[in-house]
Amino acid sequence: MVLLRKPKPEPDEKWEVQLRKGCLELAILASLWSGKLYGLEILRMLEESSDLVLAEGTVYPILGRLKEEGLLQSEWVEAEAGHPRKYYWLTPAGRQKATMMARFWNGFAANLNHLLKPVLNGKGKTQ
Amino acid sequence: MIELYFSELESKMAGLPKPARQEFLQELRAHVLDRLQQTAEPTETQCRAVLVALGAPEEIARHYLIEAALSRARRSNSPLLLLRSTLRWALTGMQGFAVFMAALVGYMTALGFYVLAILKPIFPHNVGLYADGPYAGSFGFNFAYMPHPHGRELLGPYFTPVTMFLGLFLMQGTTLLIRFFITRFGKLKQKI
Repeated sequence: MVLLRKPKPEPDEKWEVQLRKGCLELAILASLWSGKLYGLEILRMLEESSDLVLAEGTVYPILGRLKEEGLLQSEWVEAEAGHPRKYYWLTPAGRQKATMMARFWNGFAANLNHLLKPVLNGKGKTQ
Repeated sequence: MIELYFSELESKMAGLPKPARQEFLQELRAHVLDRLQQTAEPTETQCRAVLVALGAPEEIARHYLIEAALSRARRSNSPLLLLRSTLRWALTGMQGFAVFMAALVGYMTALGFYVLAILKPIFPHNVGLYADGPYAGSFGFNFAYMPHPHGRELLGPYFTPVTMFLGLFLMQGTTLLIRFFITRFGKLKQKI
């Protein structure tokens, strides 16, 4: 009986994962555009506006690298919660990089959307 | 359960320098505490859910190690690491080969200056910058036949500092040049 079962259609998971990974850096920089946030706040912002994050823990290593590259600054702040939190904010270089990436993304997405229009409409199909 | 998770994470992150590792762990700990504070009395199930959402320890550790390796290569000043990476680049074509040769010549000349700087105090009469005689106009080291090579030595007591400086300058210059080429042509990003 098992032999007769149709093979499941494989979702293009790998492509989606790659795409998410590629956009995560931009999304993190963008989330910090209007002020200081700590890791969990950044995660909440990303959750609200996108489904970019797969495992929450993977955001922290990226924050570490962006700081290492001089795009972010960070500081430990004591909170009422009883434990300190590490706040991040954009440096001028980070702001510049975010602007550059956002512009590129905008042009790129506009062109691709244009190309995708007929695919999504399902019209104009030739026999 | 949380302690177990963090001790596993710490052992998996052993490749990172200690202060960085401690800070990363403290940050992740703050994340877990914040997540749990949303509920007054966290149960075991809630703890597990928070940790699962965070990700498996080996997965997180792997991400930290990858990010650390990336930024290390990008910021590296180590001639050995840069030479090794340009060697890999050299194997992929002419462009890489040219950069590798430039790196090699730059570092070898710098090394030559260091050697001269060290030899001067040991053999003061055989090492120098000569104005005339057989070694005119060149940094020379003559050890074979004559105890004193012909010609006037120009730098005297400044010889060691000057060659040291030239060596350092060349080394720094070569490093900057290679890093410029690496970022400019970006060939190495995937390869390091």
